[in-house]
Amino acid sequence: MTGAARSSLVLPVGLAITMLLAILSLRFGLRDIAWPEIWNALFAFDPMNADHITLRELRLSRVTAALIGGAALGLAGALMQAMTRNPLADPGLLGVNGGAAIGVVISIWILGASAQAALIAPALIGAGIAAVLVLVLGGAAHRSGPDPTRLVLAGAALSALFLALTWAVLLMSREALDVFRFWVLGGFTGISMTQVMAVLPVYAVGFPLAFLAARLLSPLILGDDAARALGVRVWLVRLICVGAVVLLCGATVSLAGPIAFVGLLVPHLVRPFTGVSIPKLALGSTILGACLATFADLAGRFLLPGREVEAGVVIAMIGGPALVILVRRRQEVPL
Amino acid sequence: MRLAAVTLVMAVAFAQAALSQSRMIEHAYGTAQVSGTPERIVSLSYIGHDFLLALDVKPIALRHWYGNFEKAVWPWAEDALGDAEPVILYGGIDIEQIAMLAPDLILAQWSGLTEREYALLSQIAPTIAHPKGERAYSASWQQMTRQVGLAVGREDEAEQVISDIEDQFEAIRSAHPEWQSQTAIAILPSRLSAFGARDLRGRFLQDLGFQFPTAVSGIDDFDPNFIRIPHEAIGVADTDLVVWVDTPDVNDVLAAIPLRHTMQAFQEGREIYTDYELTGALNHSSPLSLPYALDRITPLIEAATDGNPETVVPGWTRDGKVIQP
Amino acid sequence: MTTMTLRIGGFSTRLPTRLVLVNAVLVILLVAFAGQSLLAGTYPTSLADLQNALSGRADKITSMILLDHRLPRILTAIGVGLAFGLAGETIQTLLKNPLASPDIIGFSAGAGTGAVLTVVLLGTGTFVFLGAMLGGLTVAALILALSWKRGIAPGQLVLMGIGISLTVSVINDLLMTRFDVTEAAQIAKWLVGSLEARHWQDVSILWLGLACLGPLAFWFQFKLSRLALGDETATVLGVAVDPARMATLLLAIGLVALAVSVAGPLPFVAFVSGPIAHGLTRQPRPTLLCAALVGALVTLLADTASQSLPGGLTLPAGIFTALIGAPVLLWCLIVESRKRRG
Repeated sequence: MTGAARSSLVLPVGLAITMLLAILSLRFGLRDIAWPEIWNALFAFDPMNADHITLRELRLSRVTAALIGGAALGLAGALMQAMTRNPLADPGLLGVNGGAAIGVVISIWILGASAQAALIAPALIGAGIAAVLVLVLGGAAHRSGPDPTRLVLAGAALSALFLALTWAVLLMSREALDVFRFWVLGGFTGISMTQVMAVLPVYAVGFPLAFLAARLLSPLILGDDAARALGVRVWLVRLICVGAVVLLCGATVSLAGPIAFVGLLVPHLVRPFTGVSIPKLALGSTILGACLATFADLAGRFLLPGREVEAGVVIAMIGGPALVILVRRRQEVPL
Repeated sequence: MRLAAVTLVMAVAFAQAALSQSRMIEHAYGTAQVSGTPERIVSLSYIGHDFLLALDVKPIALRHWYGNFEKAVWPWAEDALGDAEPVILYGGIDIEQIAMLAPDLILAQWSGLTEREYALLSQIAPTIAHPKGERAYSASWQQMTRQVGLAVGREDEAEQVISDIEDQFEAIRSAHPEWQSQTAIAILPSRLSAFGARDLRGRFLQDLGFQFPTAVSGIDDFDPNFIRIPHEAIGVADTDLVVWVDTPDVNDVLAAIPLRHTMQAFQEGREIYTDYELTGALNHSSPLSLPYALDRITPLIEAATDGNPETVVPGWTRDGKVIQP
Repeated sequence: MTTMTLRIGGFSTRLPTRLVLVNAVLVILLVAFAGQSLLAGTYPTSLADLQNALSGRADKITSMILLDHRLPRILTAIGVGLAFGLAGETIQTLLKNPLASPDIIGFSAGAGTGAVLTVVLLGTGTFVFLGAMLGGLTVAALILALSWKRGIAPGQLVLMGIGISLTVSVINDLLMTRFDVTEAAQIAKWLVGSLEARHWQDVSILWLGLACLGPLAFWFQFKLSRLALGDETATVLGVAVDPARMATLLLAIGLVALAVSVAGPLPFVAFVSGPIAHGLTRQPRPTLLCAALVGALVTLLADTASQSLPGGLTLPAGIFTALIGAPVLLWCLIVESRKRRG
């Protein structure tokens, strides 16, 4: 099978697998719901039927969140790595997760928030503020927009700052520690449809912006100067890129807490199939991200008897070894 | 004549011994030697002031645990504290601040005191860490009461306090023999986590006579004192009595448990809710908070387990929402 | 004049003036802050008290405060800062990536796991930092072993390190949810490291270790600066690249292990010392001495800050290492970009 044929087959196959996982996710879990019941739950809802409630209130929202959240993280990862030309780039470097965390702990400490739904807005706001700070300090006002290395460094510095502030609050407030240590695991359980809906507008802007950025990024592979010579407004492209990443990651972290690895790993897995084309890489990463998240959410229900393992943990368990294998097989990774 | 002399000598010796009573209190990091009656006691234990106040001893400094109460003592200890204005210690253990207070006894049983901190503090005053053989937060309130009693020279009062509370438990247990065949569980609703059989709150319920549900202890978990229950498996927590422990935004949190309505405990009105202070009393599990907790929780449990689904348990509205103050 | 000549006996060398000045200022600041930290504090002490304590004439508590409480803490802070600074600069130069730091090659994450498991298994916090060190070493060894492919390729190492660190830190997060919140709060305190109540035993181990590893690090500086020029250049210049890289890496890990065993996984010092040193001295890397001094100063300041909170509140020093380090790093970034633009 030729490379081109392989690459054009991968995307539809990936999509099919993802859809299959999503459907299995509705069916199986700690409580298996039979196919007829799934149908009934959707169209003949009985509010006292535990299976129906499970499907509607627990499973449906969960699967949706996993699909969208995973897709968002994968896409954001592809963009980050393409924009910074650094295969180590992870969307978390923009300080998004750190900002969300500090937003969450402050709202628990000062506002006494505790329900998952109440943490969405603080997380989103925190993520946004963090991203703006990182952008400004990373040289967004610069002629060619944010310099990738400086951006990453600024992101790391700000992340560490946020982490320190978060710890300070956690050590001062018992309630904050109690709520935060569960939030930080990252997972799709306990997310309701209302919460997903609340964050949907952010995704609605983020996804199209991201695909636009993917298109615009292609000339930048040649380097800033070559791209400028081609008439590309480098600073604008970078800004759009970062904006998209922040929207996508911010929405996901506010919904599901910080989930690592997806942004870092997924583009590496997709690249062999999609080659150099950034839009293709973006699309592939979107699909693989959704696939990975859905799989992790599903698998988490079967790893330990009677309990569920959070999707964030499962992804880390998969991601670690996967990264090891990946890195070992490759040639020297250019820095 | 000789008898009188001997009696006199014995009396003097006895008086001398009584005056220089030196009590040795063993704890995890060594032995503290306390003589006389300590007057300036610094309580580093998060709940130590409760124990001291139960024995009518007022510390000069106490440790803030959580909550926004004046003088950092909870309602059940306010009367015992009276007009005293102890220094309140926030955050970590500040050795210099303690040195400034010039204490003659430092109580650190339930404080997470480390050996290194002990090495420095014991140079300031006799310091008492958690009981030997226990972990930092695992000692029982009876153990700690006895230790405190010994330290301040009020062993008898300590024993009295302990037996009073144990009698109170016994009285409630014998008034409700039906509880012995029922299961009960305390759950933190925000993360759907149950308190295990050996946890403070689990033990409290068992001390009232209830059984711990085996289905929950069957969930293999890292820390058997704190068991997360997945939403879909909430059936294992459907016991004869469900105690929802306070959490911020409790009604929102309870509403976010989709399968609560399918629990028999909900449908038959066998849930109780412990509000902020009651939960605090359970968390403290101290000689002052336990009577307070028993007085407040017993009517709630009685209403919940009376076998009549129509009874509205105090604290709930008719449709299962918590009444917020 | 951009360089100055240093003559010691029959030995003379030329050093960049700026470097010497910066280092000198750092040393002065270090000594000044150390002295200030020794004498200032909640418990009032004076220079006279110090003299009395040293000659054994002070009262028990003053002596304890000065000699058993403050002095060991200050010496630990400085020693730990030196170790972290050296290790950080070494690793960043070696891996040619400004994001690199011992945190990245899994040390912090592993240290966290080690700390939590130690407390869980032993039921006491006495050996928590030892456990942290072992955990850190285990994960670092794992990462080294996994990225070994006829030598260490820096890019592979960093990528592997980031990945495994992420996995391990998720495990840590998971462990933290399995306790009652009171125990969790206790453990959380140790996860940011601590300089409180350090023993003279800790101080001796630390400085003994520094005495062994420190000179070794400076001896390696020559090789390291050649390695920084690139593998081929280094080989041409006579450096056996792979063994040199491995040896330097092990040295850096050794320094971090030493520091963590005494103060826990103090975050950020190793990460930030190198870039700050570079920003101040404008020298090509490695600037080991300067980085070490910066690390020591940051740690000492963090320790002082953690003791000086209003209301008698005390928080671990680990929180302040980032609160102090990050703004300085960002300031360096801004200054550097202004220079580049201008």
